[in-house]
Amino acid sequence: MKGTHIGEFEELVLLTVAILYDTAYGVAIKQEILQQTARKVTLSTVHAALHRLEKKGFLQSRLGEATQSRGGKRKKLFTLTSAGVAAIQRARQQRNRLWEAIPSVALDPS
Amino acid sequence: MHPNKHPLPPRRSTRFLRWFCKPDLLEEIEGDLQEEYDERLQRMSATRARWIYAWQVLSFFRPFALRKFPFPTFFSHIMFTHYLKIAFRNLRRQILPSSIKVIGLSLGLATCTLIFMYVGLEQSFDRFHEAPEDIYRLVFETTREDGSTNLSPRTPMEALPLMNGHVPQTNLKTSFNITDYPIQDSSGQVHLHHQIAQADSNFLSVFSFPLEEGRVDFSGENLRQLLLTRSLADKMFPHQNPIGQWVKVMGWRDTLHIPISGILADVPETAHFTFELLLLSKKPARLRQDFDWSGFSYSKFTYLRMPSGFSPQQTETDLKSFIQATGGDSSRYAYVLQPLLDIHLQSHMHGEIQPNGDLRTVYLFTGIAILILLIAIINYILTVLADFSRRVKEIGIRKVNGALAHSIISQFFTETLLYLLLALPLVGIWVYLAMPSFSELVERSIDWRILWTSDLMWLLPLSVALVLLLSGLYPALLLGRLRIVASMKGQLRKLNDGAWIRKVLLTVQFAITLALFIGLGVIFRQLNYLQHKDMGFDKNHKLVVNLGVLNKLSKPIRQEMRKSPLVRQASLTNWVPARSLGGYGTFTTEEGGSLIEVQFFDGDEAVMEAYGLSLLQGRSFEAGERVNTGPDASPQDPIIVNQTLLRTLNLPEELGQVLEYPALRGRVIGIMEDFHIRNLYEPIKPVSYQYRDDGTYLVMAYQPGQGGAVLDHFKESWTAMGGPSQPPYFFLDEYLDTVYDKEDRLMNMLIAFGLIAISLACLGVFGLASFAAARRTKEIGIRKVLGAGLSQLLLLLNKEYLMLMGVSALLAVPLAWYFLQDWLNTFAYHIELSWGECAVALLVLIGLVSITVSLRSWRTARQNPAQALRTE
Repeated sequence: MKGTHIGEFEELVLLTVAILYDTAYGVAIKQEILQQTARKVTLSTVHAALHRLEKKGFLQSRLGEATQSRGGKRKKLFTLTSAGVAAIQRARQQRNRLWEAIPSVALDPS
Repeated sequence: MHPNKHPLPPRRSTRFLRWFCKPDLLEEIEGDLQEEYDERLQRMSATRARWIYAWQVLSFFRPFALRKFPFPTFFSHIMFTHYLKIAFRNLRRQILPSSIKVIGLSLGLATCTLIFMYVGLEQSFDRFHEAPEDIYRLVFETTREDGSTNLSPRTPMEALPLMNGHVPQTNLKTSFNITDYPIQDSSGQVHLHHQIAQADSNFLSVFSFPLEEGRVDFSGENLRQLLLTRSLADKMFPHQNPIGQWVKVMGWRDTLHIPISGILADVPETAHFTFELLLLSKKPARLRQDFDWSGFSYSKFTYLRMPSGFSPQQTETDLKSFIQATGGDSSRYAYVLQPLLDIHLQSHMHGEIQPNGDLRTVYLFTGIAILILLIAIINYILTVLADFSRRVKEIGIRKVNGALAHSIISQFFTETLLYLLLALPLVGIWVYLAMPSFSELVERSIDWRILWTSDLMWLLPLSVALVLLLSGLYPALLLGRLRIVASMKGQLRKLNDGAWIRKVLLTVQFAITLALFIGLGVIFRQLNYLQHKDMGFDKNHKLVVNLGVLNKLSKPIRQEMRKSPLVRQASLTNWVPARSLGGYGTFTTEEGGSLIEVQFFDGDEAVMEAYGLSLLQGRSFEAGERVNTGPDASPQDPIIVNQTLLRTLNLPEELGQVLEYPALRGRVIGIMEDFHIRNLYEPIKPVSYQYRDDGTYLVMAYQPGQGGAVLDHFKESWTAMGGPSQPPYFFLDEYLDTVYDKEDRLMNMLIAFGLIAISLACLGVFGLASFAAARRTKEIGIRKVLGAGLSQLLLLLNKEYLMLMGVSALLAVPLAWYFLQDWLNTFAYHIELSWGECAVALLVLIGLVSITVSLRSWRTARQNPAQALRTE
């Protein structure tokens, strides 16, 4: 089915959203990615990915409380949907299967 | 949060974000950006944070964040096909106006294409070399005592070998000159007039002339290598391998016997110098280490390949210290670096290798391209407006059916697009047809390839887009804004709101045409003046043969020709009017005085008679008279001078005076009447006639009508005397007609563009006249009923245009006057501008426009008034 496949960066974003449970929004996700993987991504890339994942049904969002900072603008907080959870689990299982299929010789450093 | 401590993010960026961003995404994005911005302010300067903010905003300009813009509905697919269909129907029904539009647009664009091709070609000169921007030419600057400077592309030859090591920034330096020596191949055949570049072994490292065959090998005893270009090799050695063939280069002093070691690709046409043979020498021909700056000769051109990123000032300073180190006066002499890419269009020094192009011509052509394009656009707009009355009802119906202004606008743009698309193939055809004559006009072989290799070619799609925009804009806006009721009633009064724009457009069009006409008239008159002015010598019935320098046969052939009854006089001379001169010298009469230039022309005793020059006083030289010339001349040697020389030196016109100046010594034995020794660009200068019996040219004055017979006789005698291949010859009057080729071409160009301009203008007027005739049908009917005659009606319809032409004359005349005066001042002898040209040009324009208008209005004026009044 078209739309259920997730790319590498999308998987990263989904995982980060899961880590940040209930406090996941643009800037926070960007910083978490920087901390966890040392990858510098631009804000617009993160937003584009979030938007895409929401459209695919892996994420849901709600608007947070308005605060004094951020120029009075509200945060958009993202959480995983069940489809989102399924997607990252599927990705993980796929990886595990692949890892198990590698013959130990192949990983021999010599 | 304190506002001063936390300045707001750049407002313009935020406004931009709010403009393009989807409303439902805006809040989170703006919030996130603000949060990051605040955080950045803690870490870095406000300026930097603002830059990053602006950049971040820009990075959000991508599909997911963009809101829906109205333009997709502007050109919806269904409506677009509908508009196309309507446009096609209109086109079929209105064949004449439609073809006017298509032809007008295509002519304008074709002219632009041709001119852009030419400009592109001019700009591509010397770009075929590898890294052309790193190549420089050494230019030698001499400062005279009066502070004026002289630039020479040739530098003192003797200084070149000493220069090595004094320019630390590069050691890739090459010097060469280009001469024309006869070459003899191994079968003994002599080939004349092939340019030989004599260069040092660095030549091919500085320039990129690809070696197609063979190799350059300076190992061992090989001091010289001869290379031929492909086309010369094919010509000299058809069906043979040219490499290894021995040829003789018959030089000035000695003959060089040398094998061909390689074949070069032909020198591209876009090189500022060309050659057919390349003679590379490992060492400069003569090494002189005792060079001092008291005497030197200019004969070689020197080019340097510099490392990229070098400093030209540094090299010029290095060269200055070189002059000082070798004992030269660095306040008098200097070396200047001239970028290779500037040479073709901007360098016009005395003694260039070959004549260069001219930036002014490029500007002139570009200006004309813009004017013609403008006329074509105006023409299109006027033709669309002409069809107005018929379209108004259609638009009314559309509006009643719910069309908004923008859909009407897009309809008219679609129409313009269609006409443009139809015009494009025509553009190709025009360009294809005009290419050969245009190439001749600009003296370059222009071909299609330049279209995609030149940097300028983005201009072409740009002008197409400009045409689309400008041509579509005005009609679309005007028609789009039309009031429904008014248009339904077929009432066009409202349209007069835009009348002034039409008038302005028409006036501009008339002014451009008028200016071109005036230019045409003035150039024609000046050219006529140049070709018919009394030059002081007789140009008719003269055959000139170029025998070459120091030809052994020159005296015997002169003798032979003098015997012929057909030949009135035959003379050996170095002077050919407007072509070649014996030389010139400069001197000052007193310290700090102004520089006087004396032109020398050398010839035997018969040269004055052969050219029909008149001697005012004294005698001419006698055959075989012993006369020293140049530096050997003593004050007692006889000389003959012209009137201007004596006048310049403030001397009376008397014989027997002794002249003693650095470059001019002798006793005056004869005074010549002034004559034009070169061309009419420069005033008559002091001239001194020096007796020399070994001139390069043989000038024969023959009996009228016997030119062919004299030429045959010359050829026979030449062959009988055992002369090698026939030397080149020309008839003086024919040659002089070509001296002003540049002006001739300019005139032809103006004729061509003037014709295009006037036909476009007439097409536009024709369209407008139709419009006016349709609009005033009723008025004309009433006037006829009241007794107006045909001529009165025609005058009425023409009146508006007459006024516009009057206004356009006010615009065009001063502009044309200014530019033409500027142009005329490039000649020392020129006509005076007169009102005549302006009047004639205006009359021609008025005539053509009136004919166009009257042709169109004739039918309306002749109509039965009853019928006109009945139309609703």
